[in-house]
Amino acid sequence: MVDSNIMKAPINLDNSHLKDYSLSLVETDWLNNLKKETFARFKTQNIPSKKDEEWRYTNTEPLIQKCFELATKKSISNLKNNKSFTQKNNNDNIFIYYADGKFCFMDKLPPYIKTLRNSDDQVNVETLLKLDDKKIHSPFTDLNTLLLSDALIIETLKNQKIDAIIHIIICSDIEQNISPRLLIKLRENSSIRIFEHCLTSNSCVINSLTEINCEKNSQLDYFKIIDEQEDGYHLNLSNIRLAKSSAFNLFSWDSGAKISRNNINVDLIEENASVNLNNLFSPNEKLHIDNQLKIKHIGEKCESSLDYRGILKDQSTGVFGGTVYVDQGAANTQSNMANRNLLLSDHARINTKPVLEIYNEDVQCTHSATSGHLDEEKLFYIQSRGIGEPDAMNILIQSFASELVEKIKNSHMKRIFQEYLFQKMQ
Amino acid sequence: MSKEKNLLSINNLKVSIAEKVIINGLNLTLNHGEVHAIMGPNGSGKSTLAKTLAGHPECCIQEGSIKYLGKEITDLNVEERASEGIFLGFQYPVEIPGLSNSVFLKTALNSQRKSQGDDAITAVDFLKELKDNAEIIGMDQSFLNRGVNEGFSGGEKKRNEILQMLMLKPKLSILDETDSGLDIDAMKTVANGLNSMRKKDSSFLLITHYDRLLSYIKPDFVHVLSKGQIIKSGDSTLANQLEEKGYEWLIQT
Repeated sequence: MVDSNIMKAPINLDNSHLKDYSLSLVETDWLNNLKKETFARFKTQNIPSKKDEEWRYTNTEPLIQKCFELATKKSISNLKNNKSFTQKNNNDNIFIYYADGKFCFMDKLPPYIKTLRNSDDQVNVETLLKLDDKKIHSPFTDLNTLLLSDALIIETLKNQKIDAIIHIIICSDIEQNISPRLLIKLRENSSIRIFEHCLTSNSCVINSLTEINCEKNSQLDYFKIIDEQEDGYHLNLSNIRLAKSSAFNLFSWDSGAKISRNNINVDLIEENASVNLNNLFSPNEKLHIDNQLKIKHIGEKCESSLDYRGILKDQSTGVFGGTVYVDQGAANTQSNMANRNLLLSDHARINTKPVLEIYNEDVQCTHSATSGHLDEEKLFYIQSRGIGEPDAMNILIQSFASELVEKIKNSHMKRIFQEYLFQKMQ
Repeated sequence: MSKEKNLLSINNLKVSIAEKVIINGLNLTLNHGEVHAIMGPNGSGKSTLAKTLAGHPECCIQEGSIKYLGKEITDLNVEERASEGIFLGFQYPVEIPGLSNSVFLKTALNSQRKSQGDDAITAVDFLKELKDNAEIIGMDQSFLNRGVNEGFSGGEKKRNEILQMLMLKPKLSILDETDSGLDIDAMKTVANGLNSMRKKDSSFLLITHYDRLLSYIKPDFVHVLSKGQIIKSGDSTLANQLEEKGYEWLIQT
């Protein structure tokens, strides 16, 4: 646990102001009570620092500074005047924007999507929101709850297969703290695809919290692109629980921020559940990306597969911390964890630490981590066909990213990622 | 077109890799339209010669000259030599997952055309040529959209080298043990590909261990390389002699 003297936090927090501000955001009693509880705990939270193993390679100081500085700053973006807000989509996909603390949408939402503000079933929302209560709280998750004024709830029906892709665009064009909360629940035998796009054009702090519950036989394909401003901060915690024979597949691309920190915790609680995490992280300049993954195999015959690829330019830095934990009872577990990194400059740095913690003998688990410059022999091969060195290098970098993008089965999402690749890697 | 009779002329070439001398005073002249075979025991410098001609950065030229179409090319980089019409068929072609064969070939072809001042090939022409050439070497269409050599067998990789050669139409093809790892049928299709280009006045430098390939493509000259030098040259009958007697009798003298 955290050393108590780290409590000497560098920020001068105006606690009372934060509490008042937090309570002013909502009207319902149960939520006010939740916030009061959260605040009581928040006051006793230790601020994470490099002394914590989990934060060893990420300097939290500027992050915390900015996060709390913006927390109580009331500000309204100019996004409402933006065209994309007023345009009606011409396809069946659903577009939801999160701006200025609210989830907004042009079209009528289908019955399986609700927001905290428009839900008539507060009891259900309350249950969903409190689901994560037993989890370890960090100052950041608590801050998300304190600043919460809305939440997006996606809850499928039993046997419901949804074809539309739910686009969730988290955006801002001014300096502000953005605290989206997503609650996703897939009922038995249902499936859905969600695309979360973080898009900011100013030095924002996104501090998002996502709770995912997949019931028996359900499948969630989750796509995420983090495309933030160089001086922005991105924080996300996703907790994912997978029941029997359910599947969670993630494809994400993180272009980085001043600090981008992504925690993903996956619990495979019942047999035959599977999780697939595919991620590209490509910081440049002095950007920093920190990935922390915890996969917990509890049920038997579950599968996990992690493919994390870093493309690091300039003086950027990256962290991969991946832990696969196999419980005593998790017989016949299959797990592959790979972190491959391309270092495109002598000043780029990666800290990688894949960990296997296994308490059952009947398992197949692999892990690997490689980091290096572009392969000289491959470069020679490409150049020997008449392609100049800069192009040859670009081809190799693109192919490294493309290999992962090509794994996307949904054609609409594949095209979005291909276009993003094209835009980023030119 | 250059009127130069010699396509390639290597003079007193000395090459080292990581400060170890591998090629040590090699002389070789190859004329337009000729097929030369280079044979020799393991470690004699055959692959180093191939890589040096293609411009591999690890091959350090200590002395001598390489003239191609009458011009010194030792200062040209890899892609410049390729654009001038030098092609290297790799002994161990690399795999590049995530880059499709057809995209790679089209990029290569257009880079070469651009450096020669030609317009890019149209998509229709490219696809037609690709299809025709794939047919010549018996490569299934499905391979064209797969990653470059990704998951290919040894034989498939070699066929792919020949496909690239057919598409890029080099003046000089240096094939480094393209015959190794091929079964008889694959050998025949590869030989087919080579012979179809030979008719169009292309020249070849075939690096090989055995005379198997040479029974399908009759070389004009056979050279024996040992310790970085050519110790014997002859016509195609030399290959047969080597097959019978091995290299020992030459190296001892």
